[in-house]
Amino acid sequence: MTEHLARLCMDGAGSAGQYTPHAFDLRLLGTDQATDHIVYAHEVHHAGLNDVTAWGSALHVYARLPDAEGLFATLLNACRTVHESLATFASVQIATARHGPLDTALAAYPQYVPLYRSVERLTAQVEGANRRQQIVNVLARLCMQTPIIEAVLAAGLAEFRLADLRERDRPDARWALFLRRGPELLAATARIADQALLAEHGEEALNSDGLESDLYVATDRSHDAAWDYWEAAAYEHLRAALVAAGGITLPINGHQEGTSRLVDVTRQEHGDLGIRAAMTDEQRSSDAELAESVLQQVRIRHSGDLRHRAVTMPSIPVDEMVDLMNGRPVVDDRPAMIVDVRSADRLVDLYEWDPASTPPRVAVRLFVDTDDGEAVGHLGLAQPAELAQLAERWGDRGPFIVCAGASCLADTEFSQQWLTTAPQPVFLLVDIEPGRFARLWAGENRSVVAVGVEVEDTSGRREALLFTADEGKVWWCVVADDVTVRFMIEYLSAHLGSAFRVDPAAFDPIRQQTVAVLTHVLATESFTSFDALRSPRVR
Amino acid sequence: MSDDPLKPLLDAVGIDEAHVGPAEMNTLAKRITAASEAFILFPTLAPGLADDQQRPPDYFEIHDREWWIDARGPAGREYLTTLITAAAISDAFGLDHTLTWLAAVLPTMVTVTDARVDEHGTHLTLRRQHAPALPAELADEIHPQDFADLAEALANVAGEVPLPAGGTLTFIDD
Repeated sequence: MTEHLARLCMDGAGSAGQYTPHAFDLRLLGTDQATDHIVYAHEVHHAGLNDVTAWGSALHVYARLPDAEGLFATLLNACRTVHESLATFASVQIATARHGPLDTALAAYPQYVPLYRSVERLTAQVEGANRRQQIVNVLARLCMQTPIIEAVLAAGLAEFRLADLRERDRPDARWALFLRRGPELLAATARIADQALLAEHGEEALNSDGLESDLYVATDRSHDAAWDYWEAAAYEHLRAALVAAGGITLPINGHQEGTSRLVDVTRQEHGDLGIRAAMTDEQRSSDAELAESVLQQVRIRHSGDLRHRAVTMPSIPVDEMVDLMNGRPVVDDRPAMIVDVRSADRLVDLYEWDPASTPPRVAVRLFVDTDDGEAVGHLGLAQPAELAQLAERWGDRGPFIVCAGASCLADTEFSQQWLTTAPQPVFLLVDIEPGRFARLWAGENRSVVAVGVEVEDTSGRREALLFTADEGKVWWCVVADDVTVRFMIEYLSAHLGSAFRVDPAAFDPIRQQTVAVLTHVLATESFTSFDALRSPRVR
Repeated sequence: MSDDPLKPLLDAVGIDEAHVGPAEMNTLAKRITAASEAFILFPTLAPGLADDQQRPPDYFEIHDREWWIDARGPAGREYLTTLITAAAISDAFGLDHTLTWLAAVLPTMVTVTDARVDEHGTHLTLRRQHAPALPAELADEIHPQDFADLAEALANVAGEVPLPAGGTLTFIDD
């Protein structure tokens, strides 16, 4: 899996991130791409490690069980060093491969320097950037592949306690054991895995990971099978060392059957909490599946640590709305009228609403000063007829755009009412998992044209992806950063094949509307995420 | 017997007690343990930092905040003393337990009664508790056999145990 994550994070292309088994939040400043990539890859590795290990499965369950906050926090603390060590080392390695030596990359994150140094020391005798990355990944998985699922099933979900597991069967204690053993064990393991790989796959992959090679070269798709073989060989060698120390360690994918039973038991006792079975080998080896997994879990904040405040404004006649927006140049010295359409649930997630407000699903937004400071004011539109009237009165003053959340399409009656008569092109903000529309388009053999857009202003650099499956009547729009855009492209390409193409020429006809929408979304939307329909998160 | 076993250790390395951050922890670690990384990481993993520096209880994060321990008051001093004891015992006995685990159980097993630093290293005198029992507040997190194994190992030590980083541990009984 390491090579897939590395490739997806590196290709193309003071931030911060947080991870829970529900999702990960990113606050990317957009001012230093290398730092943003470290933060992004850091959180992706947390998600990746939990999705392929027994301890991670237990975390997924206890994060969602009612009244289990205490035990969840205890389990999280018992693997914090493993998680942070892997995420820190791997993310810096990936960013280094993409951006060159990063002497000061971790200076902004002083808490993580000792973690990085400890892994650097541990892997110092392993040759090749990719093999260092691989063996840290192996080590982390080994530490997390403990008998915790069996212990939970034996004790019962509610009765299980961390005390049911010996210290040597807890992730951070295992990590401590390997730190104490020092770099020789890992170096010997790497040599044995090298021999296994040579015998099975020849020397091509190994040669791609020499002293002078970088991670980007070694993680080429053509080497996937070879590195997976290397990873499995290294895992078994280190597993034997743990067994000799008395630890009970599952095979590399030994968590899958137990996870399935754990999910079943959880479902029987608590219903559907949104937990799925562990990823299969095939899923772990697919860039598209990994991209989907990341997209289901990521949330990119546009408003810093806090959501925007929002208020509902007293309704005013359409003519007054026109007057209000007319004096505000947005693109090419012209104003723009943007009507936002969002689902009720999404509006609650997106904003910190004034308690007296009833969020309007269709509204014109503008920043207003309130007694509690600046807020995103919402001027609601009550009827589709008002939308038509507003468009007519706006005329050709500047772009008139309906910008709707894609999740609104789930409410067929509502979307028919508001969107079918809206002026085209309609912009649909992608706030749902790509699987919900890409698989449908693939089944209908639709041609999809996409265009990437870079947005750079004083607040930093962002990227967007726009794509249409109906020759420009509706433009689907992802407003995020370069890594998220790359994950989305990877996913769409994999599912649509040659029907998906990126065409920069498609930008010109929609340039004015696009600039207006992107500026508007970045300024007024608190975050971008793809979970508006709250589907179960991927495991 | 010293009322404040931490003082000679901090004095020896010239640390400002009000602000024991990563650099100061690194300096201190080199006097105590060969595994300095775990020692430095401990404050970011276990409760005990001042005010709002605590690590988040329910999520992983990467952030650019600083951390430090205020060792002027009794709570900060006890926190550091426990960590130093855990790291020293871990090194001396070659234990694979995490410092978090050791720091949780050791106060029920030993008390630091004296500390001094000389040209050979750090010397700690530890008074053993007789027949320590796993306290109720740790029963949900500590496996009883792990607790019993460590208690037995400490009970069976006679005389001085050398510290790999230099110095000694001396065990005494009531």
